Amino acid sequence: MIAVEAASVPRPHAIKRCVRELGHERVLFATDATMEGCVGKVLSADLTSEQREDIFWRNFQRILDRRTA
Amino acid sequence: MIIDVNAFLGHYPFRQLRNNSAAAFVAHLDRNGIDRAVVSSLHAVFYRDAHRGNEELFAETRAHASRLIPVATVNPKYVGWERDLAECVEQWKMKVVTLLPEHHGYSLADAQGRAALAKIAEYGLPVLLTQRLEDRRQRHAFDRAEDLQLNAVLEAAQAYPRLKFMLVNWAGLDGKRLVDAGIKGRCLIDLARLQVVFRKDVPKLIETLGVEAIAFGSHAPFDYIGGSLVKLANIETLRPADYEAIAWRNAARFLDLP
Repeated sequence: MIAVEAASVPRPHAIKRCVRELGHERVLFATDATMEGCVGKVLSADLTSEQREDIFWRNFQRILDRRTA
Repeated sequence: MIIDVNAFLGHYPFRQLRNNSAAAFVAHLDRNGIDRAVVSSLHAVFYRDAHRGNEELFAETRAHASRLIPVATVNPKYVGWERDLAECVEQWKMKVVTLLPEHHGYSLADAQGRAALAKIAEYGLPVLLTQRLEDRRQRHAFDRAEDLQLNAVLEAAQAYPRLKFMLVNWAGLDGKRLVDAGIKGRCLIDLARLQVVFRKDVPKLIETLGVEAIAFGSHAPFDYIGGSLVKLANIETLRPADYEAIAWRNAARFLDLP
């Protein structure tokens, strides 16, 4: 699986583009130590609340669940 | 209510910006729950004659006067700048003046810089100083303006003891040095590049300068507004009155907004 993380994607519209090109289940949340900027970036992206929840935590939780299964 | 004290209209020569016309920016503010914004002209930064940018900004913001607060831009190296500033202040009633020494090729300490600061002080208006417009990473090769240095601001604060300072898009501000320069009580600092959660920049500045020194700012349309909204929501142990002060009351008082 290839995933991108939100800290390395510069702007909200680029996150939207990742979601469009890769699918929202392949985008992971990260901060690179700039918490507010990265939370704000995901909140500012034109996404559904379900997509945001997946990016903030569910996608990575699924990866963890697969490893422990 | 939220007032954004750090925003721009117009094109930037080195990067495409979105929502950068007055109408589009007001719609952008609506989408983000922002009521009003203090907007500077990017064209005034890059036109040979900055005042042409002031004229455009005034014309464009007139239709949105209840939402957009235009900033006058002065280039004291350009002939007739005093007359242009007078038009901005006396005729168009602009409430804040910005200087961009790194883009216009002078320093706050040289003859041009001192003349501009003295004139702004004479009008009793705040001077708005942006540390940087663009992220230094991945800049265009021609985009060479250096960051404005804090020392230059501190020296100006000492030289003009009644001048008010709006410091926007700054990082690395040392509250103690600002206090030592006598700027406490006459500065407004926006949180666009300050951290709240990890580095605690904003709580530290509140400790040294008081909550009245902090205001909401986004640096839109260079930056997205969401980051600053998250900061506002995460300022720990903030009393409701302090939240309101940062969200809008400090800006309204500092700029004497109706």
